[in-house]
This record gives sequence, structure tokens and C-alpha cells, in this order.
Amino acid sequence: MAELEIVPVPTRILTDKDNIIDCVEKYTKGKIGENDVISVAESVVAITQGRLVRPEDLQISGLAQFCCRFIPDYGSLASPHGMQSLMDVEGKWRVAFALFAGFFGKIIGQNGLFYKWGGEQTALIDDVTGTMPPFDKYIVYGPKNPEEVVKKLKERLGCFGAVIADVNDLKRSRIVGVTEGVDGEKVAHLLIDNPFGNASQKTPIVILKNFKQYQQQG
Amino acid sequence: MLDVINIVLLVIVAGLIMMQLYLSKLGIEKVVPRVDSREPFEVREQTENSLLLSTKIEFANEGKQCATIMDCMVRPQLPYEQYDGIEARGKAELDGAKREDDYFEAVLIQKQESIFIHAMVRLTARKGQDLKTALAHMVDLPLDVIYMETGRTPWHYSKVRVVLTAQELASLAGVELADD
Repeated sequence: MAELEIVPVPTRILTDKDNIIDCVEKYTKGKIGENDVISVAESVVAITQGRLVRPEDLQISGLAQFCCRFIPDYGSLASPHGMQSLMDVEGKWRVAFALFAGFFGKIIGQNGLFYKWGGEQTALIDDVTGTMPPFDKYIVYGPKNPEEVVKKLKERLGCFGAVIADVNDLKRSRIVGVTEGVDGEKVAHLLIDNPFGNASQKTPIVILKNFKQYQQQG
Repeated sequence: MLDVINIVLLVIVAGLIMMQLYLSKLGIEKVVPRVDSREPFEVREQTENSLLLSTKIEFANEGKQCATIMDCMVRPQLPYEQYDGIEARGKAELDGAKREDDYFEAVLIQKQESIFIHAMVRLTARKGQDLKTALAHMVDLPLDVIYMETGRTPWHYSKVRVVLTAQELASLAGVELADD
């Protein structure tokens, strides 16, 4: 029985000039088979889609400055520019309302309302310092159409499946997009030790060799 | 009717005051570059015609919230109108994160914690002079340390100045200042 193997794939720094499908194909050539799952870091997919903005390019509103104060200071929306970047894509009144609802929800023991009603980017935005240089000075949004991206990856590479994962060194592992037939929770669990590595390792692609058999074993 | 309006207004005002008190209690970040207690300049590198000097500055976050230094740079203020025998180029480097390039990676300063930044300047002799001769006529060199900070407040640039005196420089380079 083929053993499951986690293989990080080094790349150069990918930018908004790159096409993520082409790049993944190029860097995994000869390394990926029909039983494997390809996993790509969420922030890198977003960057190649041009989904990033510099704080200097935002018009920061008083509402964003006010609302950000209610997010714990370690959160990506805790800064005025982080909050403004969310408001720009999800709507400022929607975000303000969700924050207000979240605040009162907590009082009555109902957690997570802000993330539920504030829009999908609420949990996906990475503030400055959240991504490796040269994107450490940018706010990076979550990827657009992740399900479509993973579908294209699977088709192009002819592999068992594809995922886009949001993983960090603090043991957070979340699947943002996954192809049909792949158990996202299993993949998230396998990626918990962050095989994408730290910034200097530049391995935004990870191949889960023989994942098909691993999944079938239960 | 008037009573109802007054009560509503009172509730709104009380709510705003409570909100203000709550936010004041939470506080904001406060980045303080402690230039007065910086370490003395030291020689990092010396070649035939250049000298690299560095001083370590503490950046303390005395506030109640996390701060971010998004960028930092050192601008030597040596116009050739004042002295054209030396070319001065600055660089900021985070302590413990030596870089060969001139990039400053954005860094967090947690509340009530500090980071240290090395303000560096490379002095290169000009006009065919040897370094010692060029440094013997050097003037006091102000270095502006400019940093882009944010946290709970929108991003902005701040600036502090450290001065590398001609005397300190001469002493580090082992030259005697000329009496110009």
C-alpha cells in the first residue's frame, strides 16, 4: 500500500502577474500523480488574483476607525486599514451592523455573529505583517472563486483533488476551497503543522502524495 | 412628549459617554523611540574607502494596544553644500533580523514591549580622497530615522533624529579632526 507523503514544493515569489494554475503546473511537473491532492496556500492564490491592497491606497473612514476598536488587537481587522479593506468589499453598513450584532450576540451568549453576517471576507483578510515580503506591507484578501480555482487545478494536473488552504504556525488549518470527493477536514488535519513553512521557505504548494488511498482507508 | 424626547436624548448622550470611556480605557498604541538612551555608534564594517556605523535604538510600545512598524528608513542629512568629501547612505535594520538588502519587513510591537532597530550609515570617501583624510574634515551628521507606524490609529510617518558628531566619528575611525 502506498504511503501518504507530504511534499512541499518551493517556488519563486508569485505575484499578481502570475497565473496560479500555470504556476502550480510548472512547479509540480513530474511530481504529482493521479492519487495525489494538490494544496495551495490561500494567500498566494489571492495574490495571484490581484486581491491585495496597500493601506496607503485606502480612504480610511471614521466608521472604520471606530469599528476596528472593537476587534481584539491581534486580529486582522483591528487596524483602521484592515477594517476599511473589509468595508470596501462587504459594505460599510453591513460590516458595522454585523459588528454591532456580534457585540450584543456575545452578551447573550451567541458567538460568531460578526463573522456570520459580516461577509465571507471577514475571516479571510490578512492585515499587514500577515504575509511574506514583499506583501508584508499589503492587506491580502481571501481568494476569489476558490471552488473554481481548485476545479481548474484538478483538471489541469489530472490529480485526485485540489484544495486551497489557510494554514499558519499557530496551528490554524482551514480549507477555503476543495474539489468534490476530497475530505477537506482530513486535508486540514494533515496540514496542521504548516508544511507550507515560514516566509523564507517559499513553499506555497504542498502535494499530499497518495491521499486517495489514505482517504479510502478511513 | 417633551419628557420622552429628553429621556431619549439622555440615553443617547449617556451611551456616547460610556462608549468614550470604554474606548479610553482600552487605549491605543504609543510607539516611543528612545533615542536618548540609544547605544553609542559602533563600527560595523570598515573597508579601504568606506566605514559602516550603527547605533541601536529601542522602539518601545508604551501604549495599551499592539503597534505595527510597517517600514523604517534612515536618511542621512549631509548636503554637499555643507561637506562634499563623504557620501552618506542610511539603512534601518531590525535587531536580530540582519538583511543584505535594504528592505525593512513590517513588524509588530506588542503592548508594553519593545523592539530594537539599528540605524546604520555607510560613509564613503569622495573626490579621490582616502577615507581618513575625508573623515578628518567631516561635520556633524544628523540621521533622520523615519518610520511608518500604525495600530489603532491610521498609518502615518513619524521621525526622530540622532546625530553622529564629527568628534564621535573621528574617534571611531581613529582620525584627528582637522581645524577647518
